[in-house]
Amino acid sequence: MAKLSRDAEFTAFVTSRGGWLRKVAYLLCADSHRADDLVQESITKLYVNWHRAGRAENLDGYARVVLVNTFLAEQRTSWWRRTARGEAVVDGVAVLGRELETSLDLRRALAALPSRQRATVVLRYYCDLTVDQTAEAMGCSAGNVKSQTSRGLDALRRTLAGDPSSESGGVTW
Amino acid sequence: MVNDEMPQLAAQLTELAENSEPGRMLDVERARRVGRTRMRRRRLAGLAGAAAVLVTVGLLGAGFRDRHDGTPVPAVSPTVGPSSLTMNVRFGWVPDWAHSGSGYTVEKGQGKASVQRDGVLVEPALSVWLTELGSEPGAEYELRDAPKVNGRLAYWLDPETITSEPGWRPYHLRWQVPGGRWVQLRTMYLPRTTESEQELLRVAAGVTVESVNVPLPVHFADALGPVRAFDATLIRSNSPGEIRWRMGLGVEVSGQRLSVVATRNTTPQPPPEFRSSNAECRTVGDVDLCVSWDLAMEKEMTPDEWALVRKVLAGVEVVPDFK
Repeated sequence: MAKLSRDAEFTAFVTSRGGWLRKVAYLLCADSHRADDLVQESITKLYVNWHRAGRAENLDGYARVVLVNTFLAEQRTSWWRRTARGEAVVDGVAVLGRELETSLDLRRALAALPSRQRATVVLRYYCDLTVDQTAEAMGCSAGNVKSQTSRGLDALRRTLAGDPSSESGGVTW
Repeated sequence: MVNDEMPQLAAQLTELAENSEPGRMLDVERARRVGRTRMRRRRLAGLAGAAAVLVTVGLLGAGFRDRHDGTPVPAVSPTVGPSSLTMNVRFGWVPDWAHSGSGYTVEKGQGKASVQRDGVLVEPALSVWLTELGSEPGAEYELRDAPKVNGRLAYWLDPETITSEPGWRPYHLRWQVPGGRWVQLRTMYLPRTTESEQELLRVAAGVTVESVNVPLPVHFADALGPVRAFDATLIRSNSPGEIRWRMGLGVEVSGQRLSVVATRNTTPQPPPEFRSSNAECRTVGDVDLCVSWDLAMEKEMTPDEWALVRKVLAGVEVVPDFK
């Protein structure tokens, strides 16, 4: 019975929150297929640790931590391909031509950010977390979140302002 | 709240997320199945640890004799040094579309050979590796019988059971090699058709398990003291793009983990605009060279840590005319 209850709870959570997790994953990965893989791996980890998740005050928050940590851990591998030349990532995706063109500027700018800067920007400005909440989710200090956020925003502004293909005509935030 | 500080950025991020291409349906059943397997393995890990020692001793005593046919198990393990890496598997024949680049990666004790397509340097189109001793085609995949490869057992492995774009999802071919171990071939960006499966079977038949020494394009000055490399990737491009080769090398110097990234461009390039905030870079001829704190550990660096990064950057020597 306990197993059925666990599975039923887990299924209910994934059914209701999977779409939200996928959106966060998409912003982190800037790539649809990677986002799918990231969410699938994250919910698997969530299932393994469901007894711990069940004790968390905020199940959404726990799932988000699992997602972000899985994303950051994945960046450790193959970091040279992803970060040595940020635009290569975008070019590689663009070659496949399987992404929507809308919001391309911001997606490209996000994709060019180092992974931890991207995570802080997404957690703070999409997930609406405070500095302290972001630090807790990423397992780092508040000071580190502040500096990563500042650098991330600067880089985003530079990219969007300097991108001749940008349709936004400049950055106002 | 934060979004009150940056309402436009928050709105743009929301729009981007909402407009993202629909993802494939999450496979809850697969998550549960794989999760249960991991939990079972975790529970058995303690018991298995002791048993593994006994098994290993037994294998050593048998001179690495295979339990299937008596052929010696390939004993070469992938390794990485500061100036070269040693692989244990390599491609033979590959299709025409896979000639635009090739690479080797040694990471966490596992070596992978890869080839690229269409000049895409992000993710290999094909990669191949020798699985760990004792590893069997596992529960994390959907298995389907494949035609034998060089007369030995082979399976198609599908990591995803539900997908919105089945033609473009990665899948694997795994086959046994003399000695009982398995070699795994992974595809990306390859439409799944009968023709492409036939191509992969031909690729698999040409893969050889043997020691391959791969020189790296850098050396380290003696003045740096001991340099221990712990992982590496070397990618060579044959396409007419701007990059000829790129190397990423994780090294430990003076007890600290650093990343060394070297890129040879075909034409002079401006300094990369986006790089780790913890990096120092210089140009050596047509090679961009960057040393940074371990890229997985972005952090506020102390003056001493910056000094170490600069010292290592100064101590990296690029091999002239490395192809």
